[in-house]
Amino acid sequence: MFPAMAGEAPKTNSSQRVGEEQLGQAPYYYNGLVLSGGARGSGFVAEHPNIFFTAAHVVFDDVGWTSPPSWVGGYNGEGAPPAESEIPARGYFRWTQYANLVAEYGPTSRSTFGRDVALAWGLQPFVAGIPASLDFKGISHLQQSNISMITGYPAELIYTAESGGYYLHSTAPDITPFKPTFGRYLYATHLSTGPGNSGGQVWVQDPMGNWKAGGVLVSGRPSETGVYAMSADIKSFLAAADPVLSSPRRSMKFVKGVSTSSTLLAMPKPKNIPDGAQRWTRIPLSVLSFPDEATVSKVTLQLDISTAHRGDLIVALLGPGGVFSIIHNGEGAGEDNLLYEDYDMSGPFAGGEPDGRWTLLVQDRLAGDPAVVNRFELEIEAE
Amino acid sequence: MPRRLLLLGGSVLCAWLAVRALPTAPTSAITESISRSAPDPRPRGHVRLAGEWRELVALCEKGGDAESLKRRLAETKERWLLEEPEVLAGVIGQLLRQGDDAATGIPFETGPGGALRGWPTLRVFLLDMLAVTDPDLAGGIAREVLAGTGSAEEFAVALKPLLLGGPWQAPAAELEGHFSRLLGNPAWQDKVGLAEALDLSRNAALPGTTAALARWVDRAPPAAEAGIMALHETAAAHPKLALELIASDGTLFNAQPGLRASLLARATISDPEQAAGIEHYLRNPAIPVSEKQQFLALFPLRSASTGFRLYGSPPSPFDGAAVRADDRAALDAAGRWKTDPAMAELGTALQSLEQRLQGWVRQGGD
Repeated sequence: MFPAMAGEAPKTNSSQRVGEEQLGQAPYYYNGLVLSGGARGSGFVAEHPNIFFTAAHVVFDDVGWTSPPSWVGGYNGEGAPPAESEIPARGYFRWTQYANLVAEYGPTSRSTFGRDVALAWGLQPFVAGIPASLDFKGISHLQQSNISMITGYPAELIYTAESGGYYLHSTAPDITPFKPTFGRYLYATHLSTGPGNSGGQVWVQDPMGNWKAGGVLVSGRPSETGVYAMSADIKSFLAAADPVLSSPRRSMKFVKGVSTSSTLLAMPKPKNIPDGAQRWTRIPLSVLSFPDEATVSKVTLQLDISTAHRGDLIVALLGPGGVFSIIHNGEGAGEDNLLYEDYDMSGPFAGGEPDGRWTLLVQDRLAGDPAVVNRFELEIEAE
Repeated sequence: MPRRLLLLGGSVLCAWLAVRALPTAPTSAITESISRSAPDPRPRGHVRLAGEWRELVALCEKGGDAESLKRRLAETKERWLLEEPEVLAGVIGQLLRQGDDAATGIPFETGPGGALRGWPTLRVFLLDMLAVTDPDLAGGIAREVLAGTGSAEEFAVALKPLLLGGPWQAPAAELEGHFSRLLGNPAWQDKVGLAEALDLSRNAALPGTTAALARWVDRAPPAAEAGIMALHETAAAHPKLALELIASDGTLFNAQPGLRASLLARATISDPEQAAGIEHYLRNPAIPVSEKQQFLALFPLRSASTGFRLYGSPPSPFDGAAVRADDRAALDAAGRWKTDPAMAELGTALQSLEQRLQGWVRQGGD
């Protein structure tokens, strides 16, 4: 797969050019050049064809917001790609704290690297077909004995001092022991990619031999490499991008039918709500069906409350860990029954714990119109 | 974000912040002693929760490692959430009034849905729980804390029950008052609690809180970067608020023209009022050409920052259909602006904007 290195093999696992014939194959297919103003970096398409991930410092400088970056996929060449091959992104998301950390510690501190990731989104796909999958446990897997490799477009192979041109490169698949440094920032020695490769994909091989995106390359020296490791927190990015796309996680589940498990819970019998009582009536459902470290990816509600006056009602959902969200807040004065079908409540719960007590909270604050909860069902999906 | 706050995570020190004459004997012995001497007049739930609280305080005093204490607090939270909300609110109110506290060595960290997953002190832990107990009782207790606390972190978390919406949402004037107090406290300017509470501007979406935040940022405080981010998140979610504020105060951000340009670049041009505001800005001779060029290089800005927030869901300010509609409206506007003699000196920037928008409109399927 990788051309043998001339002479004695160095101890450092340094990037090698990926053969032209492999560009159309997974996982190389998901890689691309990221061009932002005068800067260049790398990126990879994951979770949705209209999304790519890169390092935050590729798209955001210490001056402030910049125009969205452009994507060039499947390119290999000595010179820069032609302008017509660029696909402009429409926007991007990054962590709020990233700018604070840059201002406080500068762009190359360990704490800043621990937030150095961005998700760019576009109005058209960056790759055709199914995108790569994120490894939401990348932060654990990269510190364990998983095989990993880093791909991307280095401008220079800093270990060997060769020019990288605009060719896709990859380190050799290997068990690299990444060590924790600060937050999501992990670090490894004897591993080298090169400048210009920020945003490159850190692949982690699962037990089935599939490559998943476990991190983003954010820093490096001639024989050292730092990465932003993926965790469940990155679901905040996916949730933020959800309304501008066609629900990345739902479409992925539909396309691939893997990596998501779900459980359906329902209250056993109707429950009367005390009329005019300004306190919560609780209807609990317990979940104990997900593996450790699983996090909520989707919450769907079915709710049927009969009443002559739904403006009297306040309804909320309290999830494990104290995650609280109001579903209905006295709207609809003078109208009757409260019905929710396939109501997506993922927003506040995404990334939280799925196992534990999920409690529907209901108040009928004004007397005169009794209310009955006839149906309360939750479908919890977790990854 | 202040360095010393970030480094809190490295500490495992638990120390008393407020000294009170609490028993030092093991909790089981205390409980036994109470039960032998006289019946406790408090309901059983109160006694049990107060006992668990004393155990937590003792654990901090003893100085365990922060990770195991964090797990213990998370378990306690899960268990306490099974209590009747009114009982739990009552106990939390009582404990907060007692004033006992201990540092945990755990950095402040917000998780999904505004629920904390890192509590720097035990009182912050109590306030985090308070927000999901009985909301009628919680509001009153939170106001007591807001009136008297010297901690920015307590202040930030105590605001949660006042932002629940519906009958529990605090009036605009009250929220504006709390926000001004937060921003005006000199001792809190570099506190993580202040940085977290800046999100009140986005959440409450009030002209008064947005103006207070903007004027605070305009004075270039130590946490200005956090303020700028909060302003951008407010403008991304409520562009009209930012536009009206800037339009009403011609001096605002005169020293930070790039910030003014980028905030206005979030305008929704398909809204006629905002479109008129942007045209007025571009024609305004008092605005430097370089600032207008910065605006045009970003407009319509649909990038944003996000992450877990104390007062609700992570920011997710854009909608696909609205973005496409705004891009079309912006393309129409750019075409008009190009022929407007008042904008002649912006010709190159407008040309570039038009090309960018044509690309996005094409991508968007029109």
